[in-house]
Amino acid sequence: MTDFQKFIKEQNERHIGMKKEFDPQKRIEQFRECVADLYHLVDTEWLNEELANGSVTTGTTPITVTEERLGAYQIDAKWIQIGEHRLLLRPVGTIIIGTKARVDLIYKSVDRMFVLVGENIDGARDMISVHVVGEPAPKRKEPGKAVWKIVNPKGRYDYLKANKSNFEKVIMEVINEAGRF
Amino acid sequence: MKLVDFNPDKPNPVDIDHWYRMSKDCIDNYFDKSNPTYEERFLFKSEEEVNRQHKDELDELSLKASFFVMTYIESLFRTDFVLRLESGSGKWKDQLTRHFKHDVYVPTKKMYQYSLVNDIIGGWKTYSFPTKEMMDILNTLPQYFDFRNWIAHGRYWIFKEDNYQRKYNYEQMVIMLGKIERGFNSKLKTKNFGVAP
Repeated sequence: MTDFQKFIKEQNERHIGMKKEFDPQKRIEQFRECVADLYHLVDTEWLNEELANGSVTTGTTPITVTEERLGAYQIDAKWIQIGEHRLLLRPVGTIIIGTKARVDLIYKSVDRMFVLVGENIDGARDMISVHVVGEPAPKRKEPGKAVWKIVNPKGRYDYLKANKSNFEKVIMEVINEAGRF
Repeated sequence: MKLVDFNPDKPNPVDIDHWYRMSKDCIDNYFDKSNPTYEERFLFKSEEEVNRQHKDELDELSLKASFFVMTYIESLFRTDFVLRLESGSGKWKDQLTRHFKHDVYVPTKKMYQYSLVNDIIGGWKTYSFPTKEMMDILNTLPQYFDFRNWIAHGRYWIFKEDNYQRKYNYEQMVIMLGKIERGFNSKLKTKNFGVAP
């Protein structure tokens, strides 16, 4: 076998190996499951009282998300109707820097990100560290179990745990902020 | 008669190109995945969002570089105009120079008050016996100057051409400059500061 033929064989084997590690269909399915879990939290824990008394209504609508490594795929977005305001929880993708799932809460031109990160991660400083080459990297927190957290894209990147009280707070923030424009 | 203090340090196409390439390298480096600050900068962004932002930055850089080339082209015509006006009666006797001196020049007017399109380009079209190549350029230049004015005036109105980013980007402006240099050859008068290139 010539050097070039050996090189081609190695490149092809490497490519097959990478394809085995990264299964696009599996990744999409996992993302759909994460998003469905988020919507389940919205319906059964965060807005359960309001949905029960009819003061808030929700529903889903299929959208197409396109990610370079996955192609185009269908996934549900969730709308939340509060009076005249219709907010949208829109899945953004699963090939995201720092997380395997991001869903944006959008109302007019205001948005907040819902991202899956470790439960012990409170901010960007817990995820990223910069150190001088040659010196040991600073110890990082153990991330813990992946949970949904709320991030303001224009803010200081401190993450709010996604729970009932923070979800209510964020909805009010988003509607009030949009009303200022 | 001296009408203008010419600037020997005005940027030339080589300077503009150097600045453009250096800035482009900086932007590409900013968006390079191997950059140690990449994750910090783009935390929670999708690949598409990062790529779109990268493209937007490069498009904006191209518009700015394109603007500088346009102002250089403008300076070629304005310098030529001023030199013809400043020239003594024996120097250039062509129709264009006579037209600028006798029909266009008003002693009380400042140089910037002469319209690039109506006074200067208009003069070239009628009095310079342009070749077909020159005329094509002269007919196209006003659109480019509209774009230059839009940038210079802060882009406060919607520019009427939809694909302006492609039509007036840096590469297209460099092509236009090349056409002017070839088409006008040595017809455009230039100021010689006596400095070796």
